[in-house]
Amino acid sequence: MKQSQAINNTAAFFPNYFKKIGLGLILIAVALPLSVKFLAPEVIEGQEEFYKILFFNVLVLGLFFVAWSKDKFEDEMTMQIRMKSIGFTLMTSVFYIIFRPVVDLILQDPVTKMSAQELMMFILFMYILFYKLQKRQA
Amino acid sequence: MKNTIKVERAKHNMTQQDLAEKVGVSRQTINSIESQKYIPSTVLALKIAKVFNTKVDELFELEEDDFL
Repeated sequence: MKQSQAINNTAAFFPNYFKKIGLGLILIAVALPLSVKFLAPEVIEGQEEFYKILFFNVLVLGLFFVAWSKDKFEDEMTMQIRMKSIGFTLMTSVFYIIFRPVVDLILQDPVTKMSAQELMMFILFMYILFYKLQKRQA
Repeated sequence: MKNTIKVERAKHNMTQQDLAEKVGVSRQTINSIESQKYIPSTVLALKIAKVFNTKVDELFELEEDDFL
């Protein structure tokens, strides 16, 4: 359905088929390292850190495609839900950064630096979660 | 903000899907407007009013809460 420019202002998002590409990347980023680890661990021997970063990046890219692609039908309410979800995500991410070391301390785990990939995965995952929840409630 | 979209739809024998297609939004958006979960933009409000051949202020009415 053709929409007026005033209502359809979603040009900054990927087309809907990027959701499928994103899901494919997520599947690859989860399944491939697991199968390599159990079936042929010698492949990644000595280069564990490199492969860890590589697969985390693929996972982040997959989550980004899922989060940042248009729904089958986009309108002004979808945009408002996106805005709200971005707000909630920002808030939870700040709390996550502040409280994760505290939780580590309480659980007597070693307090470690948070990687960029870990934070980005958290942000994208929370955004997708908030968006889906609010869309269902609308 | 109250609205009489449901009443107008009934008068015009129109489903939520029919109205949604006429104004270029999803059925879910029309449902959210009718149940007062979502307040439409000026453009969408004008488009809905035009479909029912009425004025926006006859379709939408401010409530006391809106002035808080």
